[in-house]
This record gives sequence, structure tokens and C-alpha cells, in this order.
Amino acid sequence: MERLNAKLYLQNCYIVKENERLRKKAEILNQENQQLLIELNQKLSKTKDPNESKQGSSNLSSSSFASGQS
Amino acid sequence: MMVHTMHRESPDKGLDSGKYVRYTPEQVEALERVYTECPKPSSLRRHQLIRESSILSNIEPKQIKVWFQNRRCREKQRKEAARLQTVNRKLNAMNKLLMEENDRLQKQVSHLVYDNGHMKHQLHTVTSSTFASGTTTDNSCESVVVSGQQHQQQNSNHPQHLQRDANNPAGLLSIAEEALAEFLSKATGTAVDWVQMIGMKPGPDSIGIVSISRNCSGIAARACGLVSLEPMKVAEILKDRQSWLRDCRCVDTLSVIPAGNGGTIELIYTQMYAPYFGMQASGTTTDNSCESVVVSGQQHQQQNSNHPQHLQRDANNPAGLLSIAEEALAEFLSKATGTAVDWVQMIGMKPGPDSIGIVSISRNCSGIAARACGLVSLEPMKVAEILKDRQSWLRDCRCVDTLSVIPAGNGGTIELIYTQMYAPTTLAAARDFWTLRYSTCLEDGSYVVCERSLTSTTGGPNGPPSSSFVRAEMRPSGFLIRPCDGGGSIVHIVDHVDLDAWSVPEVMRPLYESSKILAQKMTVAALRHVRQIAQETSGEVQYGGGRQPAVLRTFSQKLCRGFNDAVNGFVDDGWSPLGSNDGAEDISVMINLSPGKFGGPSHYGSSFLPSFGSGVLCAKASMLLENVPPAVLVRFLREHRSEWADYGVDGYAAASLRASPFAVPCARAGGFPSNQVILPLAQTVEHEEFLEVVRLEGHAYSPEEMGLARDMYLLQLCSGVDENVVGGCAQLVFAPIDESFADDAPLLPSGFRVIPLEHKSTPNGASGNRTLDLASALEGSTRQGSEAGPNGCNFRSVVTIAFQFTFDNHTRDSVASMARQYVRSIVGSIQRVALAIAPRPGSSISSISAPTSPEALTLVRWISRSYRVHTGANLFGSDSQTSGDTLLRQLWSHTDAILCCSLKTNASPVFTFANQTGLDMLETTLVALQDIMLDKTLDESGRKALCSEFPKIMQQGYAHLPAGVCASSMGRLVSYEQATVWKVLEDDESNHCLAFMFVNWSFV
Repeated sequence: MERLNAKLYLQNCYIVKENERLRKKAEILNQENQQLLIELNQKLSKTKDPNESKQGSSNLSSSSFASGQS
Repeated sequence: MMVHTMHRESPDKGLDSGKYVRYTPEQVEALERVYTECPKPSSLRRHQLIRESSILSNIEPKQIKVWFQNRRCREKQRKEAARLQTVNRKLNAMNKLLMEENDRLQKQVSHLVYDNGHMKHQLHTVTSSTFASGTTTDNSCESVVVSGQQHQQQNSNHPQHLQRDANNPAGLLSIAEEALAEFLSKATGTAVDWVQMIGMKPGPDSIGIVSISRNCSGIAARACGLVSLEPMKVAEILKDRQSWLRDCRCVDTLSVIPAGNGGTIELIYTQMYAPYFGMQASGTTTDNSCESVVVSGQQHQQQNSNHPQHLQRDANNPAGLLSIAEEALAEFLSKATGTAVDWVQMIGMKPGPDSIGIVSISRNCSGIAARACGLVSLEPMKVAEILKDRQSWLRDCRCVDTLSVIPAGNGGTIELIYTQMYAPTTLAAARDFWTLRYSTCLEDGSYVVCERSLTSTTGGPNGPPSSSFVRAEMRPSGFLIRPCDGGGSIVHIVDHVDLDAWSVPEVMRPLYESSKILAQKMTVAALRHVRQIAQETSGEVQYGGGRQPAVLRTFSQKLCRGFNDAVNGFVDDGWSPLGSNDGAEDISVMINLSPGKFGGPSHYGSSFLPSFGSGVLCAKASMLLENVPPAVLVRFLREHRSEWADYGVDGYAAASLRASPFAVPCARAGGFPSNQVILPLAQTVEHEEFLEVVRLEGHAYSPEEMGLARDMYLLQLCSGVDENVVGGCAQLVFAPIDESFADDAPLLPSGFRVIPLEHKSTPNGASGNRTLDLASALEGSTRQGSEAGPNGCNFRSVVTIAFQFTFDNHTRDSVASMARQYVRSIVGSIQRVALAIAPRPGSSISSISAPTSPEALTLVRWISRSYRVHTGANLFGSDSQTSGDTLLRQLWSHTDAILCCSLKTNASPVFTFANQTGLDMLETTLVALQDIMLDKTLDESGRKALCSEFPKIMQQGYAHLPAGVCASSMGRLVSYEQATVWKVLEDDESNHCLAFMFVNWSFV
């Protein structure tokens, strides 16, 4: 029983660490998503705007997309 | 060790003195009876037993002795087994919790990953402007998962499907891409509502993590595991379905099409043996829920779309209230077990067999929130009953009034509740809540109590008006209590409030915006209280001073409540302000001529008897301190009462308990230092609160009162003195009590409360660890920043002081002026102490530890030089660095305790300096160190050893003392392996002090 408890405890510690890692990952992903969402919205509003020159907008967006990735 | 002499078959019934004795059931019963009375009977008692009991008369005394030995041994084993069982249960429950959390987090991450991929894809699509912009825009807008809407979405997607020509490779590629995306969202995401498959636990030896679908169309399963083969090899094996799927009759690849991007598309016909039906072609299943994306920005849209519903319902009738209740329940549950709030683990709260549970606090949410989850060995209904009685565990709760109770129809109950909360300081108004509370059972057998404020947006009846309170809002909060395998409950607690921080002065705002303080004060306090009661119920808690735990808890509650009443001074309690004579308004004085009304409209407040003269007077003040950790300040105030208290005033307060109080003294703090002895009464399971009796040793404070010199007693409650607790307030509250210590003794509490004000901009700041701050100050800028504020130690606390006295009509003015002066002098004392405690270079008393202090640098230079001169060895290994700063740092962080002691012939030696380890060993601070005498630290043999070696030290300069024991300032015993004593010489070779180095010490 003692050994089982020790094992359980270790496993719990392991899951705690794992959860911590996941939480961090989720946080990073969430930030990235927010960034992407902003870009997407920007781009969509640009694409929707018929007055915008197509050439210019696509150049602009591809450059900001690259910066968002980094 | 078990002695093997029993429970064995023996032909003759134990008549011989042979090895094995068999006892009859009657004999065992007789022995057991004796055992329950006395598990370890003396040999006399054993012989008596044989003589007196006819059943046992044929058994040898030695056998009886062995029986008792074995019986005790069995008992011990049983207890140990039970203990292990309990630990096991806790660990298992914790495991379950962690697994669930893990599962949720995995879902969250996979959601995010999928979102991420989806958005990147969208971005890409939008960027390459060949696609029609209208179509892509629509896609991203509708990417919300609501199970009911999936079908709608599918319909709207149909035209697209019809348009594409699935007979050419491009069409097939598009089907393949779609299938891929959907598969990935199932494999790593939550496109299917996955649940962990029972009996498949993750762990070092498990095959992997296996989940099965729930409520999805069709049936689904997924597994994830680690394989020691190359990916391509694994793919090759898995693709050969017939080799591993026993039910697979045949797999025919009818055509192979290169996908153009390096991938391959195959069209496959598969036959499966009965009872399975042939698997469907992937093209059909692709249609299902292909847009399963949650974009966080769109949740608001959904909430908005619910608004019309809010407006429509009539919140004044039971059905309308039920709909509010159900909504609150859903929202509470999504906070308790979900991710509706952006939770972060609270620092310093780690899971483990003895931990209170998992505590998280909110980040960037509107309002502040905290949640805790823990295991309690009480039945769910009992836990609910305890937690619902908020006044019993929430110290800041003044009253809870249930104004109406409505059966919810489904077996649940809806209550409308008005709650008043004390203000923690005199600097802000108190808060109240008008809430709806919904208690009900869930389908899975767990019990839930959730609560939320009724506001103009939710609708519902208006709460009672309140003049002296600011209405705060409770967002859906509550308790989820789940029965636990093997007894006990798992409790999830969520507190989410908006305390209207904007209505308090700016300097106090952090207090109302700190989720850490909320966590400590409410969430963790609730969990602690339930656990405390559970432990008391199971008998794990020892009675203190012969009192029942419940009685002691009532004492603590009365002290807290009385102090809160004094700080708040509510008009409906009978308090009114008393103008000051000397014009200064730094101290406010209030009087209460009807102390019988104390305690407000609650049954908890019946703590005061009308015996308090004609009235009670309270002098109070609040002040801001910088860089003073609350725990350190309160600990200092507790341990060094003579630094701030006045014996005469204590005497007046104590005498007011008796019939004839003596003359009102004039306040002069520290005038007559009196010895205090602290007698512990009780402490909570986690030692965050101590109830104790302080005995002030009597001496007459003026010649005329010589005859009245007697000991005085204070009942004292001290909490929050653990420096490692994040966001905790520290408090020292005491009340004079007479020698009888009656359970219902009247208490008129006074005291201090220190609350940390944490700035929102530095979420990790105010760690409250003074030694760490000191060390970081010593190490210059290297360790700053991460642990504390921008300047290494820039945080504030607010101290609230309130002192209460009784008065008679004719003494009112003199008591008022005494109280005012007394509190003013205490404010002065605290400022002095704070200056000394604050880890700030240049402050008057602690300057010796600061790197800039020339005195400290000189002292350290003398210490190390003298050591080298006398012993020929270096104190820090190599002494190549002669820089003063480095020396100081090395000495400060030296692993052995190094202490300096004054060297005067006419006075007993006191400590003058210690490094960090030295302070740890003596359990003291640099300031308090200077009150500690060497004689009281060393034990008898240590003193003798020092005396006999003293001539040698004076001659040779140093001596080694053998291993021994000494005592910390708190009376804890410390053992050390060796002590080196050397003479510290000044630059002109004159004696400065004695230095001690205690090697390898540890608390006994």
C-alpha cells in the first residue's frame, strides 16, 4: 500500500507538471489565436472594401502575416 | 514485533505452558474488555486479572502478557493500515481531480490548436485573393459550435459540396483535405465529445490514453500512445488493416491518385465480418460537423443573442427566478470545472497528500475570482450545510438574512439572501450583497449550491436598501460537492465578485482588485473550515486547555467579530463619533452607549453582556506602510508586546472586567515593560490561526497600587503570520479576560490588522518574504524584479488599529483622551518598528545588514580577519576577494549560523548581529535579535563549556565547543555539531565582540 501511495503521489506530481505545461501551452496558443484573429479581421475588412486596390492589400497583408507568425 | 504464541491449533486448551495457547471466545472477550480500559496493564493488574476472572484462571501470566503485546501490536498495525488507506483515498481522489483537469486542459489546448490551424488556413485563403472573398468571410463568422446549429451549418455548406466535381482529382483532393481536417480535430481536439475510457489510466506503464465518444452521431474511439518505431514504419503497419484488425475480411485499393502536394489519395473498398457492418466510405462522414471551431470572440455574440430572453422573462415570479437560477448554475459550473474564467494556479498552493487542494485565481476577468478544489471526509449534505452557513467560516461576514425561500419545483430550493460584509479597514465603506441562491442535486448525484447577485440586468425583486453599505455584485459563484468513492466529498468552490473597486480611495483599490486576497479570505477559508470540522468530527484534533474545539472556535469568532464591529462602527450597532478635544483627527474615537446591541441583527453577536459599564469607547486609526510584510509586522507585535503596549492601559482594560475599575492611567507606551507569557490554546489544522492566552506578569505600576499587582490575562487570536502565504492579511486581536475563562466570558477586543496592497501591475509582487527581500537587497540588483516590485521591494500594506475601552459616565472624557493618546503612541511605535523591519538601505536600525552600511562592512571585515588570525583558516574557503561587499554577501549567505555577541564585563552578553542562517536558527529578525541574551540561548552544558573555554578564547583568540543543544527565541531546541567561538578584534587589536559559528545545526 505504501508503495502504491508513493506511486500515486508521483503520478499526481507528474500530472500536475503536465497540467502546468498544458496551461502554459494554452496560454501561448490563446495569445497566438488572438493575434491571428486580429489579422484575420483586418484582412477581411480590407478584402471587403472594394475601393482598396487588390494588389496593395495582398502585399500588405502577406507582410503582416509573416510578422504575426514570428 | 509479533510474538507467535496465539491463534494456533493446540490440542489441550492452553493448559500447558507450551508455545501455543488457544483462547476461547469468552476469554478473548474478557481480555478485550480489559484492553479497552487499559491497553498496557501492569504485571500486578495481569496477576489480579488471573486471580479474579475464573475464565482466565487457567492461563499463565506470561501468556497474558504476550496476548496484550500482540493485541497492541495488532492495534498499531490496524491504525497504520487505516492511515495508509486514508492517504490512498486522498491520493486517488486527487488523482481523479488532476486527471479531469488534465482532460479539460487537453481539450482546451486542442481546441486552440485547431482554431489556430483554421485561422492560419483562413488567413492564407484570404491572402491568396483568388478565392471569392464573400465565401471565406462567411465561413469564419459561423464557426461556432452549438450542437443544435451544426445541422444548419451543414445545410448551408451543401451548395459548396454540390458545386465541386468529385470525379476529378481536384475534387477528390478537396474531399481529402476536409477529411484530414476533421480527423485531426477528432484526434487532438474536441470535435467529438471525448470521455476518458474507464480502466485506462495514464501512467508510466499504461498503453496510452484511451477515450470514447459520448452523444455523438455514430460511435467513436481514440487512443494515443508511444511506440518505439519510426513514424513511416508505424504508418505502414497501421495501413495494413488486415494484419491487425481480426474482423477485417478484405481491403481492396481500387485506385491510387497522387495528391500533387506529395500526399497520396486512395479509393478503398473494405469488407468486415459480422457483427460489424461495412465501414462507410469516408466521403459521407466528412459532411459531419465540419466546422467545429470555437472562436472566443464569438461567445459574446451568443451571449448577446440571449438578451432578448432576459428581457422577456418575468423575473418576479418563481418561474422567472428559476430561469435566473438555472442560468447561474450553468455559469457557475463552467467556472468550477471549466475554463469560463482564465484560471491560473495560485503560487504556494501545491497538491500533495496533505495539501488543502488545488487553488486557482482569475486573471484578466471582469471582477475578481478564485476557485479551490479539495477533498473532505464529510458527506456532501453535511459539507453543504456547513458552507451555506457563511457566517460560521467567513470572518468578514456581518450577517446573512434569508428573506424568502421558494421551492424550485425540481427538488431544489431558491433563496433570496441579503448579506452584509465588514469593511477590512477604516478607509473604505462596507459591502453588501443581494443575491439569489439556488441549491439542487445534479443528475450525477452531486449537490450544488450556486449564488449570484440580482441586478437590474438579471431582473428579480430589489434587495433591501442600505445606507452605510456599497452594493457589491456576486457573479455566479458557489459550491459543487461530489460524493467520493469510499466516503467523503470532493468540493469545488468558486467565488467571483465585483467589489466596486472604483468607489474606494485609489490607494485602497488594489485590495478590492486582488484575486489572491479573495482566494485567501473566502475560497480557501471555506475549504479550511470544512476540513477543520471534518478533522474535529473524526477526533483528529486535540482539545486545547480542556475545551471543546467548537468552544475555542466560538472564542476566535467572537474576537474577530468584536474587532470588526469596532473597526466598522455601524450606526445600527449604536456607535456614534465623538469629536476630539485637541483638534487632531488622526485618531477617530467613537462611543457606544448601548453595548447590549452589539453584534448587529445576528445570533452570532450575542457576545456582549450589559456589564460593560455605561458604554464602550473605541479609538481607531489606519495607516499605510511601505515595504513591511504583514506577517513580519504582526509577528513582531505579538512577540514583543512591550515594544508598543502600556502596562497601565492593559491594567485598566483588565480591571474593567471587575466591579470597580481603577483610575484612568495616562498612556505611555513602553513605560513599564512587562513580561508576557504566551500559552497556546488552539490552532487550526494548517497553523494559519492561533488562539492563545497571554499572561502579563503582574507588577504594580505605581507605588499606591502595589497591593493590586496581579497577573492579567488576554485572550489573543493571531492569524496570517506565515510569510509564505500569498495575499494573506495578518491580524493580532486580543481581549482581556478574567481568570475564570468562562466559555461565555464577555470579550472587548482590540488589536491590529495588516493587509497587503498588491498592485495590479506586478502580479507576482509582494511576495511578503522578508528574508528574501533582505537577501536580494544584499545581492544588489541581481535577484530583484522577479520576486518583488520594480524596486525589489516596493509594496504597501495598510495597518488598521482599533482599541476598545469601557467607561462610566463621569470618566468618559478622560478615557477618550487616554485612548486617543494611547493609539497615537501605538501608531508611533508601529512606524518605528516598520522602519526597522522594512528591508530598506539606510533605515536606522537594520542598516547593519545593508550593503551600503559602513558599519556592517567593517564588522564583517573584523569577523573574518579575526577568524583568520586566530585559527589560521579562512572563514569562506578562499579569502582572495577583499572587497567588503563580497565579504558581507558571503557571510550573510554562509550555511552555518554566525552570530556576534556583545562583550561587556558588567552586563550579560546579548546578540548584536547574525547572518541569515543565524536569524533562522534563533527564529528572529535582526531587530529582535538585539533583545536576545546569550545565556538564554545556550543550555546549561553549553554555558559551562563556554565558561571553561573562556580563558582560552581570551588567550588564543578562539575555542571549539563540543556538540550541544541551544534554544531559539521561540523556545525551540536546536542541536549543533560544533560551535566555534572567536574573539573579534578591531583594527587596533582591541576586543570588539565575540563571534559564534554553530556548525550543522538543526531543529530537534
